[in-house]
Amino acid sequence: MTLSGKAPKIGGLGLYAVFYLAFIYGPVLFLPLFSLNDSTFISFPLKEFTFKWYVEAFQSERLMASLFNSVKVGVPVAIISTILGTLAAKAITRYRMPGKTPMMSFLMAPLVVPGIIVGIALLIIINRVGIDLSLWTIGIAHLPACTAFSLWIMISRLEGFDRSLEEASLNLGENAWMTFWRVTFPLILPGVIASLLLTFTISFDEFILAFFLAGNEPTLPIFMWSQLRFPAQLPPVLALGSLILIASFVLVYFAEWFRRRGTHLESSSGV
Amino acid sequence: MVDGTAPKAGSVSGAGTGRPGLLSWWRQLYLRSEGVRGYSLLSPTLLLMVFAIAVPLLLLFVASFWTQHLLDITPTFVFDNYLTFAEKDSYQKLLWRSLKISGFVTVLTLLLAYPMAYFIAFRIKQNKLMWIILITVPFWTSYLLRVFAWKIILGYNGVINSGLLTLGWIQAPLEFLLYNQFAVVLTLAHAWAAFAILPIYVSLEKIDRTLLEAATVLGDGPVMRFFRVTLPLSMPGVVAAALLVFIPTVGDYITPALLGGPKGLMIGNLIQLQFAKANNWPMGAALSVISLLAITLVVCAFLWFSKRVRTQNL
Amino acid sequence: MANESFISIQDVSKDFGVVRAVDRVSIDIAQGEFFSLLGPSGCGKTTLLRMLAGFEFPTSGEIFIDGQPMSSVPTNHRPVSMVFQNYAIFPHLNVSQNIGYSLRKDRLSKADFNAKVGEMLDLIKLPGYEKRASHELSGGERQRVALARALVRRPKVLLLDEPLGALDKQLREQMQLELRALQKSVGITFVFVTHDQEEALTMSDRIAVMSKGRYLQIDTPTQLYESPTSRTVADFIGTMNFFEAQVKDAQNGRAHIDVGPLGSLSAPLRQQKFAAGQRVLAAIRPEKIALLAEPKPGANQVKGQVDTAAYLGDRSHFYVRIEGIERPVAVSAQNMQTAGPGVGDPDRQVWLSWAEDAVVILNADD
Repeated sequence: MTLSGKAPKIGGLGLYAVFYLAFIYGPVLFLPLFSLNDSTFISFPLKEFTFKWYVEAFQSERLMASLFNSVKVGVPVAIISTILGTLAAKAITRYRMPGKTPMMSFLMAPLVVPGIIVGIALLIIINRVGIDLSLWTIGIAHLPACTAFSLWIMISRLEGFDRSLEEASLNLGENAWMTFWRVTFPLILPGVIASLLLTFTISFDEFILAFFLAGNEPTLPIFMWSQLRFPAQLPPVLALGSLILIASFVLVYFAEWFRRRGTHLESSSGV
Repeated sequence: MVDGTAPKAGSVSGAGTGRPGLLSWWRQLYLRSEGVRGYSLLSPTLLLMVFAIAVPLLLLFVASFWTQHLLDITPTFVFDNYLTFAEKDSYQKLLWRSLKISGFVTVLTLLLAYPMAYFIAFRIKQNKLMWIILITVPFWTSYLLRVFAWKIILGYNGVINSGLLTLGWIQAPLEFLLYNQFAVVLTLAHAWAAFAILPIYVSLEKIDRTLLEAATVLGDGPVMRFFRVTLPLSMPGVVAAALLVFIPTVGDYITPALLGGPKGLMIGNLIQLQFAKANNWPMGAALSVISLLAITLVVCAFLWFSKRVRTQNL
Repeated sequence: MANESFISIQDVSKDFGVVRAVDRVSIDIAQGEFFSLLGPSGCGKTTLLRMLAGFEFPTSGEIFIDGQPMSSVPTNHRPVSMVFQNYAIFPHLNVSQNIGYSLRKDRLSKADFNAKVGEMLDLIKLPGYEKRASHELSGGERQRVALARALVRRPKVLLLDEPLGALDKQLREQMQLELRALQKSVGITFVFVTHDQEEALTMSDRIAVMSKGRYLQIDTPTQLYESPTSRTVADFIGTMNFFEAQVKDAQNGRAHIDVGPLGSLSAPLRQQKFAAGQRVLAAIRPEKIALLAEPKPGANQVKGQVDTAAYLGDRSHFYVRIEGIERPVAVSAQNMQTAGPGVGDPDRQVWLSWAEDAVVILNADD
C-alpha cells in the first residue's frame, strides 16, 4: 500500500491490516452499490445502472422534511454543545480545582451510559413535566452526549495550549473576553471546527435517543427506520443513506483534518 | 501602562478596595480562588449534565417503583416490577443473553482490534494519523446505516445469498446467516471496532521503546517479549476498550431488532417494548435499572479481575 | 517618598493548598532599580513575581505598586509588563502584531501604529522584522520581541521570568549586557527572576536571595558576595570555605574567634552581635586565600598539603588538606605566570594565607 511506504517489511500484520480495513469499510460500500442498481430487490446479479432512486428520494416531501428537521436539530446542538464543551475544557485544563477527577467522570458519563437508558429516562421526565415531544426534546437529548464529545475533543486541544499566552495577553492590558477572542479562540479554532463538524454529524445521524423523544416531526434516521419495514421503499432509502454516508465521511474527514492541522501548526511554532 | 492611562489603574484599584458589599466580595473571591474561577466557567456544562442526565436517571430509578394500569401511571413505591422480573424466566434469560452477547462482542472486537492497533503503533512510521483517521471515520457515521448494511449482506435475498446463488455454489438461500445471535455479534463487532482500536493504540504508543530493546537485550524473543512486556503494558488500553465496547452494547436494540430475530433479541428490545406495545413505563424503568446494575456488577468484577491479573504479572 | 519604595511587598504569603510557596515576605523596591529574585527552583521567586504581575493573589499581605494597593487589581489593570520564561510569543501573529498587541485600545492610525512598532524594533535592534512570522524567529529574536512587546506600552515595572534561561551561553552573556543597558536607557524598574547567581550578580542593583518561600538576604551584589549573612547565602553565591569556630570576644566592630587548627583569628563584624563562647562559622572565599610555598612572617596562615589541583586556564583551583579539618580547603588562584611545575603539585607542602578582613563570621545554625 502506498500509505505504509516500504511494503515488503510489513508482512503478515500488514496483510491483516488490509483485511481489517476491508472489514470496516466493505459492508458499508454495499449501500451506494445497490442504490445505483435498477431493481427493487437488493440482490445479485446487478441490473442496469440508474440514478432514479436518488431522484425518487428527493421527490419525497416527507423525506425532505425529515432531512430539514435533522438539520434544524443538528446545527443548534453542534453550536451549543461546542460552546459548552469548550468552556468546560477550558476550566478543566486551566484551573486547579478541587474534585476535578470525579467531575470529569461525571461530564463524560453520557458517553458510556447506554443510549436507550438515557432515552427512556428523558422520556419519563419530559412526560412528567408535561412537555410535548418535538424537535426540541430531541435536541435536548442530543446535547449531553455531544457536549461530552466536544469536551473530549477540546481537552485534547487545550492540553497542549501554552497557558502563558493568555497570561501574556492579560498582562498586556486586555481583559478576559478580548484575550479569548484575540489569543485563545484563534489558537483553538481548528478544535472548534472539528467539534462543530463532529457534533453535528453525531446529532444528524443519531437514532436511539430520537426514537424515544421524537414527536410527530421525524428526523432523518427516524424516517429511514420507518421505511426499512417496506421493501419497496428500500432503494430510495439506500440512495439517501449513501448520500448521508458520503456527507458524513466528508464532514468527519474535514473535522479530523482540522484537528490534525491544528496540532501541526502548534508544534511547528515551537512555543 | 500605556501613556496617559495611569489614572485608570488608580481608579480601578480604588474601586476594588473602596466598594463595599457583595460585588467586591465576589470579585476578591473570583480573583483569588482558581477553584471559583474554574467552577464558574464549568457551571453551564455542569447544569446541563445535572438536568439532562443526572436528574432523569434519578427519576428513572424512582419511576422503577411506580405502577401502571393501562394509561395511568401511579407514583407508588412498590417492588412489583422487580418481583415481575424475578418471576419471569424469559426476562432473566434476555438479560443473561444480552450480557453474553456483549461479552462475545467485546472479546471478538478486542481480538480483531489489537493486531490492528499494534500494526499502527509499531509498524507504521509515516502517516500514522492518516491511518487513525481511516479507522475512526466510519465510527462517526450513521450507526443505523452501518447496522442496516449488514442486513443487506446477510439477508435471505441479501448480498451473500444472491451472490452465491448467482455463482451457482448453492441451490437455496442460506437461512442461518440472519436472525440469530451470530449475526448480532458480528454486526456489533463491526459497529464498535473503532472504539476498541483507539484506546489500545494510545496505550501501545505510550510504551517506552527502550523497554522493548531492554527485553531483547535480556534474551527475550519477539513472542516472549510481546507477552512479557508489550501486552502487560498495553493492558490499561485493553481494559478501557473492553469497557467502552461492553457497556453500550448491552443496551443496544437496533441491531437485535434488525438482525437478531426472536432468538437474537436483547434486553434493550424488552425495554423498548415497555414504551411501545406493552406500554408499561415503570416496568421499562425497572428493567433499565436492573440492566445498569448488572452492567455495573460485570464491570466491577472485570476491573477487579484485571487488576488481580496485572498485579500477579508484575 | 514614592521613589524610595516604588514597589512595596508587605508581609505577603501565598499558599497553594497546604503548601506555602511564599512565606511572609516584605521587600521594597525603588523606582528605576534593577532588582533580582535569586534562588533555586521551588524557592517561591516565580510565585512572588506572578503575584506582582497579578496572575496570583496573596493569601495574606498586600502589594503596593506606585502607592496603589494591588489586592483587587487584575493583571490587565496593573502598570506592569512581563517577559515570560518561554517568551509567550503569540504563534498566530507576526512580529509587528505581537509587538503592537497592547496598542489596540489606543486606536492608532496605521502610520502611528507602524511608527511605534518600528521604534521598538529599532530599540531591540531588529529593524525590518515587522512581517516575520513568529515561528521564523530564533531564540534570541523571540526574546527581543517579547521585550519589545512588553515595553511598547511603557509599563512602570517590567517583570522578567528567567528570560535568558533558554539561550545558549554566549548569547546569554551578550543579552545580559544589553538588558542592563536597555534598563538604564528606559529607566523602568526591572524585577528579574533567575536561578543563575552569576547572572544576578552581573545585572542587578540589588538581589534578594530566596529559599523555601522566604528571603534570606537583600543586598547589592558586592555586599551579598563579600558579606553574606547566612551559610545558605554564602553557599548559594559562589564557593565558600566554612570552618567551625568559637567566639572569644566581640566588640567595637571586631570579633576574635578560635578556629581550632587555624588558630585564633580576628574578623570584622557586620552589624552582627555575638556573645563570648558562642559557636559560629568562619567563612573565607577561595580567591581570598593565597597559596604560598614558604611561610611568610605574620599571622593568618596555616600549613597544609595539596590534595588535588585543577587547571582552568585563567585560574587554577586547589584543594588543600589541613590537619584537623575534615573537608579540604578550596583555594582559587589567578594564573599570573605561565604554568609550570610548582606550588600546586599534589602532596606538596604549602602555606595558606589570608587577609583579616576576608573572614566572614556567620551564625552556626543557619
